[in-house]
Amino acid sequence: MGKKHENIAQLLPWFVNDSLGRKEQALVLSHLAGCPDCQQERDRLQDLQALIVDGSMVLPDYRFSFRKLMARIEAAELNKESTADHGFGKKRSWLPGFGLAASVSIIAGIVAFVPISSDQNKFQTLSTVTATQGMSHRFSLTFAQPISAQTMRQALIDTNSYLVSGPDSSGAYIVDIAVPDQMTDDEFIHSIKTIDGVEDAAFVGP
Amino acid sequence: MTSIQELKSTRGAEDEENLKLLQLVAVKDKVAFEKLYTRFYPQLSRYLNRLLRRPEMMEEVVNDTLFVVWEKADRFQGRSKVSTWVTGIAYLKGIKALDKLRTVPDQQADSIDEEIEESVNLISKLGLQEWLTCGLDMISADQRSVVELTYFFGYSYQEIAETMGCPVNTVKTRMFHARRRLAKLLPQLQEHKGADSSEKGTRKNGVGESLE
Repeated sequence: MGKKHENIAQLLPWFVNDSLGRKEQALVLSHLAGCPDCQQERDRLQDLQALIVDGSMVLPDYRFSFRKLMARIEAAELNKESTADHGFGKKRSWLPGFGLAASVSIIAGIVAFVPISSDQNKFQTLSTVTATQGMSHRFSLTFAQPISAQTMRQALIDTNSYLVSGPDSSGAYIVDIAVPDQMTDDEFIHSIKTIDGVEDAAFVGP
Repeated sequence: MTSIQELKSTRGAEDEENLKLLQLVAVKDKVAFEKLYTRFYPQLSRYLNRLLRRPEMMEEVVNDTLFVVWEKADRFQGRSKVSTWVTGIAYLKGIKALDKLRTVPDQQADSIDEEIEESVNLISKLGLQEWLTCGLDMISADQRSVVELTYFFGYSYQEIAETMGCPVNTVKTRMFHARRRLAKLLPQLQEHKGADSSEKGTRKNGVGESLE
């Protein structure tokens, strides 16, 4: 086989997907007319392409993944602010630091182990549950215990919680959390309140 | 089923819209980012699923990719299509994820030839999609990327070179090796096609004759 044949044969996949420029397309067409080997290869590649395009894929709901990513972005932004504050040695009031710590407390609470159905007699992290099931609800949470920004970032990534705003004048944070289907509202609130550092938790909306 | 031609005909308008959204993302518009996310989530999931061959890693790498898009949107200079830029990030993230798993690198891929020989009998018992899955498992991640970007996304070899950050000749070489390996399994495809055609009594124009 000549060099020209080899060069044309290399272009066949892109002849099949119709992405060649006019000049190359004309070259391939002209060669194909007199080359049974390349005709056969083109046919094989067409079959292969049809098979690849036909391969369906069931995708999970993008919203769960998107919420995870937004939590990660929020955490990264908070971390940047925190690093900038420390890096430039600005003298800050205690309130923003406390706010950051309180945010971490929220997430640390969410990461903590909560009981799932009694018949299973097992424990599972809330983040695992929210990643797969449950309706999202908005909560107001207040905290007392400071936690590092690094812990907070990791916790935000690990959980599906979404920090909406806070703290307000009373020190409460608004967060969105997916409540596991198998838990009632009261059980869920109770499970959050039992976590170290959480002073109070309440639903503020669906 | 969406044909390559249908995909290609909508790509120009889509990229215009992607560019508008990316410009909004560059100024940290979260609503625009969600729209961009919904646009890219299906195609990145598909591409990374093929590249990684590990569905459990797919979501994480999709989010790694779009995290970079969020962070670096203001640095996009418009020298390529937005989709090419985003897919290029996905490729790098995917390869990095595979590196962490210490999967088979390209230079060791020749040993896979022996595995192909051993697998032909098994594959002959599978359906076409399973055949494809097995076949793609037997080529390197870089080769899978070229195959997927060519046949599913309809990219030109120049666009693939841009996406994967390599010369066009490297793209052609990767495709050459992928074809060579997949060709060892193609006779199985031909047998299936023959059986399917005789059952249905139909055949695609000009495709079936050479497979007899």
